[in-house]
Amino acid sequence: MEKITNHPFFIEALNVQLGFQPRSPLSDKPISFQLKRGLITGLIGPNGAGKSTLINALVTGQSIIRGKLLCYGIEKNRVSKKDSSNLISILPQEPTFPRELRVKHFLELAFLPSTGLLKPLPSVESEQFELELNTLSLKPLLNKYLKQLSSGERQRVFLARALLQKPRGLLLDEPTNHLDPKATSDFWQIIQICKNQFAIDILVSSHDISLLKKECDWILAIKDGALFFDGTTDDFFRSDITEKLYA
Amino acid sequence: MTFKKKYVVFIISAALILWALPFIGSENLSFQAVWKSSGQYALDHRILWSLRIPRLILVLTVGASLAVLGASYQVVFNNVLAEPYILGVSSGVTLGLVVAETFFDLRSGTPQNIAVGLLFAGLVVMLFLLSYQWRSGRGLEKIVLFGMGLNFVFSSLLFLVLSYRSQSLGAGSIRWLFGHIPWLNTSQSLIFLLINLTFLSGLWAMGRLIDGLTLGDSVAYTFGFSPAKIRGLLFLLTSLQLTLITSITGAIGFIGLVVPHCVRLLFHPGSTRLLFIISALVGALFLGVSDSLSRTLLPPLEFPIGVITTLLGGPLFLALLWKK
Repeated sequence: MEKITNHPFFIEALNVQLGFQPRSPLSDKPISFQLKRGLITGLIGPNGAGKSTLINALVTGQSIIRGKLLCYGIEKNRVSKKDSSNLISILPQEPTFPRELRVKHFLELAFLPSTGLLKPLPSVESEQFELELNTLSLKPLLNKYLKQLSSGERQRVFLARALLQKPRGLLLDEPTNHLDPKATSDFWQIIQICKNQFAIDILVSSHDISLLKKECDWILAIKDGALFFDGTTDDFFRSDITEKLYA
Repeated sequence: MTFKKKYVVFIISAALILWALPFIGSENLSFQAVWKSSGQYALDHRILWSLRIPRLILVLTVGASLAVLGASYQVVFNNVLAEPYILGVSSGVTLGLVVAETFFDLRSGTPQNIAVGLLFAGLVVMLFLLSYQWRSGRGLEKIVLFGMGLNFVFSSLLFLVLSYRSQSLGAGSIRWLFGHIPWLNTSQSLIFLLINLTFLSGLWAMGRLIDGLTLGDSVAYTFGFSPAKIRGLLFLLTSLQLTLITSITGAIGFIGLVVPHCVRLLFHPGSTRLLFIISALVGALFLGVSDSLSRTLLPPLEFPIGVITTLLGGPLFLALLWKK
């Protein structure tokens, strides 16, 4: 675990080729990059470029045909069960969830990996989770059912679930897709808090270029399964690379 | 009603029903027969302890198991229409039973043919399904559709055999379609109870893992869970249990679909384990009441139990949906 704590990089790709079938990778050109810690990295690219495939590969260890994909210096299938939940957490693009569950019970599922099978899950209402709940202003929602929430509230609840897992890194797959402008800016405010106060490294995929320009420190662009750009946000927007990316 | 009140009302009524069930039947038994076995109570005592109680054990076990199996499938498939028979396991078993009885003259109810012919049928289906799941990796909808396909094929084969049989052998087909409760003796029903309790505790233990699956596979992976393995184990356990139950009682409909629903609507359990426990209780009581009704509506006639469960539960369920 100490090795993980001191590792300088959040995510590293070493000559990675992604794909669903071993014989047909998304691209012939392997991907290599290193994401430093302490940053919000925007992952962009046209539809079908492989953004979700990359995010899923980081979590599941699947769809990696060649090369190594590392989180904090270790491969997914080398992570011990115990460490897995504290390494990275994910907010999937279309999260599935039990609609009939109360918010508090849903949030308590974040403690599944850290609680023994026979012990009761800790209550989310106990004091040690005050900070997370207040940051995401979730206190008033705790007794509601998930099906009663608006899209914005629901996304905050999903984010809270991911945070309560106490991860080092967070993967967000198009998190503000269904949100109105107000909910979107609220959501990003929380993301900034995650980075600054909770010291969480963040990789977020999105199509909202202007938001990424405002919020991200680093940009990773992929196109047709190959790396297209890897650099600071300023460099990305200084050039005419956006047009080429979507051309 | 507040949360706690609901549980209190539920537990008290459950206890009352459970206490009354053994005394309901075509013979009216006196309560003293529970402990008195001599003189005028001799017959009542025997009816109670050698017929009604073993039957009640069987019925409660089956009811509880079917409700929990249904609940587990509804959670895992994230589909409110899922029920224990969705994978085609029990229609395979039923087909095996009927074929064994019709063509090989293995009378149903004898332990040998239950053990051999019918476990086999279930296993074939189960292996079929597991290999299918491992080959395709993901796609829960595909598994459901695959099971539905199997169901159609097995059911039509079943009808084929039954219609052949009704011409050559006569009646008795209806119980294969709606389920029936056989008269087991005390030790048989206790063994049945024990085996099912083992399976149910396995499912209960898996409750936490199933909770993890409800968040989606990618989140489950970050927990260090392996969704495919968890589902594989769950299908293995449930299919084995379903094979056992179906080979004794046939496929009793409706319970596995509706009991977990009602439990969710009424109690909103906060975890899969709690859902399992309440479903088990409600399912047991529901089948217990249905069985009593099937025997007492027009004695000595015994209605197919599946018909009663549907007639009893359907309107209840509709009323509940209407109210919500």
